[in-house]
Amino acid sequence: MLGSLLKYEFSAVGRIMLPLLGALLAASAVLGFAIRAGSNIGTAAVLVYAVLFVAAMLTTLILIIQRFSKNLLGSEGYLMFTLPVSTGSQLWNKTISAIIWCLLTNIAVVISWILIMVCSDADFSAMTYGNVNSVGDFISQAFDYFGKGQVIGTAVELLAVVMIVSGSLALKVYASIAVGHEVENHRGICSVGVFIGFSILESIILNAVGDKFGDIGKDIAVKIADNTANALTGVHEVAISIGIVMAIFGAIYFAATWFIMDRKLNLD
Amino acid sequence: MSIIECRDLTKRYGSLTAVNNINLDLEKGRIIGLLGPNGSGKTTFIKMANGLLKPTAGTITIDGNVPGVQTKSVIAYLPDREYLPDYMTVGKIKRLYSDFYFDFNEEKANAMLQSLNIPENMSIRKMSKGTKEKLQLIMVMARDAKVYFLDEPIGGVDPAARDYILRTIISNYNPEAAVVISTHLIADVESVLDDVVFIQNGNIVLHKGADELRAESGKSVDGVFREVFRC
Amino acid sequence: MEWNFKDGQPIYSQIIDQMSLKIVSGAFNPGDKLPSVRDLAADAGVNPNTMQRALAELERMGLLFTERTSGRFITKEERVLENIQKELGRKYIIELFENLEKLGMTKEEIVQAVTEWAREEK
Repeated sequence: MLGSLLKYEFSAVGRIMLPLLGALLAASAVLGFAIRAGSNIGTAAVLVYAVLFVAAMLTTLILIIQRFSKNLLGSEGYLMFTLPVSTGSQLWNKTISAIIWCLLTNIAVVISWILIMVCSDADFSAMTYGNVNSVGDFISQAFDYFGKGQVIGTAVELLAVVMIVSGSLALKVYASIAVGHEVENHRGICSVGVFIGFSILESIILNAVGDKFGDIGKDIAVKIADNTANALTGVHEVAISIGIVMAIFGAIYFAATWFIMDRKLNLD
Repeated sequence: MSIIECRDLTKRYGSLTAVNNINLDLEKGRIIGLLGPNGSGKTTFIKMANGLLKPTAGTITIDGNVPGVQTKSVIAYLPDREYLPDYMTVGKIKRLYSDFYFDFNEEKANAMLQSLNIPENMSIRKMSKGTKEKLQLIMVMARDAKVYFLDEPIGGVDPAARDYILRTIISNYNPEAAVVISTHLIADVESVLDDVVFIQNGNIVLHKGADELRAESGKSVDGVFREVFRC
Repeated sequence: MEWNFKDGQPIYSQIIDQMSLKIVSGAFNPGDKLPSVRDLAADAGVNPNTMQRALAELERMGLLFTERTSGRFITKEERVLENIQKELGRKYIIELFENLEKLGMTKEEIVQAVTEWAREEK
């Protein structure tokens, strides 16, 4: 049943995000060629790309909010909550969808940068170590320097952490909306307040364990300065820590949201 | 065992008691009218049966099970509101019901959609209120459920559609299922009812066979209702 | 088919009366096969259990009979039909007398009025 939920969720979000991300990629290609041609469309192309870039980010966030507040706690809730699926499945459905779309948006953004670079055929050597004129060179240099396994391992880890962080963020949003829904009036403001409250709590907790991060941070700085291959280990440690902390926060938000949806549901 | 059983079912919101210690047994193979004024607790009761609200006290079971995933798979609920996603088409909604409900009968749905002239590719956004209501009802009636909860099924439609809907409810009759109809339009619906339940301020004030009530009172169910709930 | 349900009387007994009338007045022919309970109920706009109860009673009265594999049929027995006609007739007469007596007429006055009316209507 979760599979079916995911199917319809993907369709509901995709009908908005896919055209938007497609437009972003198209705009990036156009921008690239405009730079190459050195023409006046340059400024217009930059503007269009910038707007679409912001739109893609904003829309991803807005949809995360809407797919929860409207589809689950609005009128559509009468459809969703009478489907024979568990509350847990409903929540996983939204969370997984949020993670995937955050990822896809990020990937689209990176691809759009690559497209700009490729289409404009410009020289970006100033922005990288040594003399690099293509992404391919950059990657093979990294492989040589750190070892292929390390780079790929780190990349996968970073990817996992990004996914955990976006999942945790989405769950924070869901928990805020769920708590806000419990009051009669001014639900939106209440949810925002709760979200801020959660964020403050998070930073308080992080500060309490922050000393450890401080040490690791200094460690990494030293390692990078030394130009040693151990720099990646530092990144690895930070990634794992962030991943664990955010996963714990995420789990707490999941539990809170689940409890409200399962025990305290009150659709209008 | 009755297909719907309530024992001391209660729902309180703070100091307000919406449903007050209800003890009710509803049998399968019956079409039951749940009748009462606004705010009498009808919708609260139906929501609890569907697992959309948790009781404050007491229990309700459907076919022996507490509301949950299992009961949702055998209950067909028609709420008194629009609840289908705007951007979906008729065809897509059908596939959704097919995917989630093993008892959804697509052929039946198609036949009804055709009788009521609702095209497959029409999107919900473009439908009139009446058409949306007909679509929602079709999706519910196309299921071969154990319990149907119809909340104001004929409220927003024209008289011809009302006849069609009542005929559909009758032709769908299944001796293994219970149909609970909650409505104000008692006169239009009463000839279809086996049993009537009057609910007032969260309490059951009457639960009788419809014909029995007519024989005893010499009135229609509508007439008795007006008497009992005189303002 | 025309069905006319009034307030205040159990529907199943109204169905029995109206079905009897239809059978006796020839809307159904003797030996005709009846539609299914569900179809009859849908046509009349009534609950199928109610219709079933009425049909069972009609069968007990001899107006219908069931052939287990093929369904329900209108009786072909002349005697049964005649009896029902007489009974229905009697019911109407009782109703007539009740109504006219409410207006203050005596039984003799009623008979006289009826005879006069019949003569005029020729």
